[in-house]
Amino acid sequence: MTSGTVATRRRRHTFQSVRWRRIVLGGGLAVLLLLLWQWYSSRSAHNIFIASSPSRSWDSLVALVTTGSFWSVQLAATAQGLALGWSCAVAAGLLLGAALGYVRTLREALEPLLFSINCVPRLALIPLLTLWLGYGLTYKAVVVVIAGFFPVLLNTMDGVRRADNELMRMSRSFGAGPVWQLFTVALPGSLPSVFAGLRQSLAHSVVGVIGAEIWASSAGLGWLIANAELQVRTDRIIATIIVVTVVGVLLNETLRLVESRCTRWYPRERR
Amino acid sequence: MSASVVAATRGAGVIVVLLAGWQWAAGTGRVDPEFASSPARIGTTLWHLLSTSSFWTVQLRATAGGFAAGWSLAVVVGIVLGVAMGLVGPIRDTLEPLVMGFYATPHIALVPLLIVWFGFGFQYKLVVVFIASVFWVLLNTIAAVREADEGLVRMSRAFGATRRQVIATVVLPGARSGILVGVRLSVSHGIIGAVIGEMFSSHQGVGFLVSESAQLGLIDRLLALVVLLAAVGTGTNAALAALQDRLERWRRPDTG
Repeated sequence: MTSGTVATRRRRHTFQSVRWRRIVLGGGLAVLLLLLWQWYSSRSAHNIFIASSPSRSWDSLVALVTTGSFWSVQLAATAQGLALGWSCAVAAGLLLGAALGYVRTLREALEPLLFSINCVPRLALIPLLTLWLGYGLTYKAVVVVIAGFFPVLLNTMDGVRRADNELMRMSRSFGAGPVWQLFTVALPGSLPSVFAGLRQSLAHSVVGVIGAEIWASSAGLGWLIANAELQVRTDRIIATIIVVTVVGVLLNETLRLVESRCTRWYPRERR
Repeated sequence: MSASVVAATRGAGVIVVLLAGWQWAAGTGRVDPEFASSPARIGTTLWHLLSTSSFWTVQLRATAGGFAAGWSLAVVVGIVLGVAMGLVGPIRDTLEPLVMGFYATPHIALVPLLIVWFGFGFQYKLVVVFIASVFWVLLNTIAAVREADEGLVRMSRAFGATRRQVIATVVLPGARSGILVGVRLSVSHGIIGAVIGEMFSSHQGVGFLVSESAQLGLIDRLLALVVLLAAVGTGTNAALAALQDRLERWRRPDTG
């Protein structure tokens, strides 16, 4: 009992000191790099044209997020494509993944096909999809589906397949049928794996929607980046990259929050 | 027939049926072959592409050059930085927030910035490939070095090994296989990174062929290139995995 408390206290102590060291050292490096960047760009007009500067990028970022159309047009366009595509990818991935993980015949029939399709690099399909679908919402959503589908599928399949054998046997001897077992044992047990898949899928989907918009679009965060590139506005490119990164991190953290809520009942050592 | 043979036949059967259905639909005009292509057309185009000498001497060479340069740089930087970050706490604390920040950035969003900075030549490709592959090496190296066998470290300490000796004889040999996993994964990601980079900005290379085909509406050639890219990426990864398995055979006690 006592030794446990001591160990916990020590761990907490190291954790805090590590965090402080990280803030001081890591933050120090970031500040140093920003200062170097500012100094470099202040040396000539050419430098500031190519590299922009921290203060200019910051001004650009502020100007960007205080414009009404940024929220109502650009962010909305990206969010629409992402939401539509990702929900389709998740729905299809969960359904097919559960079916494939649970029914062996189906898995054996479809696995080779799915694995071969999985070999295709997603972003290389973008030019093809523009030819087939144009550059509207459908195109964006399809790119996102292609980017986000496989992580959900593969992780769900894996999670359902690895359903706890003892629980399965026990529920069967208590009279549960296969469908009942799927919903009470196999699917709940696969949650950690499913969530790992969802997070990976969301990250790939963000890359997909931004890549699709950079390649061809008429609005969206990716369009903002491509447009700023055409006008050689480095500050605006950097500002939009920051927005994209923040959006990605926020989405990931939200999903993590949902995950910890949904898997709270799960035995800690197996999470 | 054993169960696995039945399963393999079934899996292959599904693929064959789908390809045959596609071919049939295109052949009978149920789908427009100019628009939807067909397996036979893709095959012919791929063969034609691969038997053109300029594909090898110009396009593939441009892609391979950018890949080789960016990838080797990524491996060197990834391993050196990864070992340093894995072993030395202050270095890790200093660099990790920056590394994680860049890792969290969707790399595709950086492409336009790199185009503004480096244009469309060798330098640009080098940087794109570097970014596409360095994190695989770096993060795997850090993890591998940090996961050194605690028991072995403590034992060699107890037998009087210095810190330097522990690193050279226990930590690094133990981390080798983890580092190699990162290096292996970085190859296929680097190759694909090179092509994607070229797709957005280039005047030659496999990715240039992709964007050129898109502009000319050559769907057959686009699909042929996609198939080629999938095969090269997966083939390289599988070959390297087999190679690694061979190198690491001593590790597994059951095979001696």
